[in-house]
Amino acid sequence: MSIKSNKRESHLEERGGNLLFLQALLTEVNLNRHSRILEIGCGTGVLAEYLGVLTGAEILGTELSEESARIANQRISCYHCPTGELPSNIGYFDLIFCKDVLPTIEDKRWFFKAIRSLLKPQGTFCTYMPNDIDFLTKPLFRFIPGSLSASQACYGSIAETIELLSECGFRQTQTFRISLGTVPMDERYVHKHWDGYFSNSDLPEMSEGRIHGLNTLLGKLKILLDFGILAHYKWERTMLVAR
Amino acid sequence: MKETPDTNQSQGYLILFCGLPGTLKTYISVRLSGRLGYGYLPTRSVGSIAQSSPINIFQETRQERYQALAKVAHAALQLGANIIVDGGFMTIEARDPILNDIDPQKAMIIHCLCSNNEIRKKRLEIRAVDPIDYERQSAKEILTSGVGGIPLPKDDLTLEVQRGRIKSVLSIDTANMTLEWKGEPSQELLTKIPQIINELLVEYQDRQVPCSYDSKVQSQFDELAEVYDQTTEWRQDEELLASLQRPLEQNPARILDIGTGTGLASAWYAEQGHHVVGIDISPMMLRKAAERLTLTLLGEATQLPFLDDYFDLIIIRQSLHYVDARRLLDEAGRTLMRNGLLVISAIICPNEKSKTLWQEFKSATQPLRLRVFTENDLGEIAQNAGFNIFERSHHSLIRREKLASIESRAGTPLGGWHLFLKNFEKIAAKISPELMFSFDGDVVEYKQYWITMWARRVGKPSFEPPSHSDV
Repeated sequence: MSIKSNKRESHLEERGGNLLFLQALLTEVNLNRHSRILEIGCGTGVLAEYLGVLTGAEILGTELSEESARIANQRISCYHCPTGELPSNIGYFDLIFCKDVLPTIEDKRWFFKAIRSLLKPQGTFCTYMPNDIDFLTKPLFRFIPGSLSASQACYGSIAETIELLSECGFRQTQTFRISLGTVPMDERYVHKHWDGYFSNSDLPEMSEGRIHGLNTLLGKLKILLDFGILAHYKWERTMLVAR
Repeated sequence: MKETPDTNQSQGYLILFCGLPGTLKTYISVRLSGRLGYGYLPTRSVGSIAQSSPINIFQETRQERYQALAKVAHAALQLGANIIVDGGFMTIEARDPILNDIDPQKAMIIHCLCSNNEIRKKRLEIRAVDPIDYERQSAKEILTSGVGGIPLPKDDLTLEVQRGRIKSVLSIDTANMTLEWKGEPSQELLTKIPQIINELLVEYQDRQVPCSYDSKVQSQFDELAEVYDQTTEWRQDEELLASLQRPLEQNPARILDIGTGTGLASAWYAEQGHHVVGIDISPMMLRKAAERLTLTLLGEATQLPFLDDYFDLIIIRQSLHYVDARRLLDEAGRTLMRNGLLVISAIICPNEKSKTLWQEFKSATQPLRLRVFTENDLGEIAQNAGFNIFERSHHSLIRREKLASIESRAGTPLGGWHLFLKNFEKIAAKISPELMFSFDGDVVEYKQYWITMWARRVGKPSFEPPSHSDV
């Protein structure tokens, strides 16, 4: 079976989980039309736009990808930040949130301090991340086991993250388990990881094993699909709300 | 560092059901899977075409079925799923494919037997007349040749434990309702499984739940099928049904209804005297379809058990969302005659913006739905699969769905469904007002958009089609 990378395509075609995360966010954080909100790594701005509709608040976003930022700007005010920097002189926010940005941040201390500096004194930072069980039960790692430790290293543990948030000026961090629905394991799911989803597995020496594992996974999924079984797993995460 | 898949460490748990027909193994295994939260794989899921017909090209032997089933089971186990496999597995050869290469610590056998042949005979008599029981032929043969069958040799399964292929065996005598362990079951299994099975056996004796082979069930399934026809607005919508109907040049024509359900979409053609085959993965629905269509088959849409270039018309109604749409249409193209007709009728999103929103909504409220389409998506998939679309018609209707049905298929989100649906109402009003989405606290209501596309297969068949007299 020939496979072409569609990493870029999948990057633009984000879907699933947004409404459930939005609901969890609104349940735990009080927002209104006077609020100022920043989403870091807003992609094409789908979630940010929905949040704007529900709260009437001013929503800003940042995004690495120029193409995503262009689309996001049709929905919200989005800054294209090609090196992942946070824009300056954009005022202070009641809420800053991000979804899957943490594993891409090498210097998390810098990141959390930067967020703290952009928040109003009573402001809130919100994100979600996998806990130990989420890592161990993720079916993908059965096929590319070497990427498990790489992924864990990229995220860091929840306890470490909470401690770091505290060191960066957040007084209190609460955690909530949230469901983001289910992830169907189809060909698209496998293709998404073809170029290396986690930074350490992007190394050339890791590529051969990863491709081998993904091909094995693809074969297993095809066997199941041939008999009408669509494999999927529950997508659950721990939401962190830091104030 | 080279990464290699580590199958054993992450293998799910396998429970293999063995036993002769009429020993309640399906009754117990399907319910045990539900109560344990395990996936259920019946032998019929492989080469599941029980009915013999001239167009059935999958005449597999039982051993071939076991080998194919083992492949499916191993794939599921390797993905970490816990599964129950329900089959006869009466010989070592039958068990070999599935028990080879698995972690014995994570596998057990449940052996169903019936020490009273009269009881078993009664069960088989009911199965033998069940029109869509996939083992009814086997039940008939067993009744004809004497109900004895060939029971498992006394130590056959104990040998599997001794050979180290599994950890334990639980034997259930469904005549006197007794359980016996062999081997070393884990503490969890030792307490949990017998408790569930004892409850199931008591329920069976008290008839508090319908048994698959109980004659009362026939009428109950019929009632369910009737309810199914009326559960959603689109199924019986006359305008939508009419969009699927057109006079055909051939009479009688060969027609295939993929994902037929209860056969509503193609019943009109059967009434006109055409030969209509309906295929579906749900035996329950096929019971009703069997009354409406010429032939019904249990099978998969992406692996059609039919000859190349065979049908004059293929009908696909609201079945593309749950499967790989491209593969389904490739299969439809393979089995359709040159210049044969294809009609696709499906729910669509009126534009890209509502597609994004609806995809998010469905991923939260209907987790197993695979894809949401726009008209352009469907047209592109059909054209890429070698079909030339020559007619499109659009329809819409108001869909009402109870909150309870959303709650029953999706977990409760933080904050609850009421808040979720009220928030979605606000978002939809702003982003996709054409959906006319509303929620009154009990019922969700929205406008559903449909397209019916008629297409012809283009391209050359791989060989000359057989004559019509084959049907």
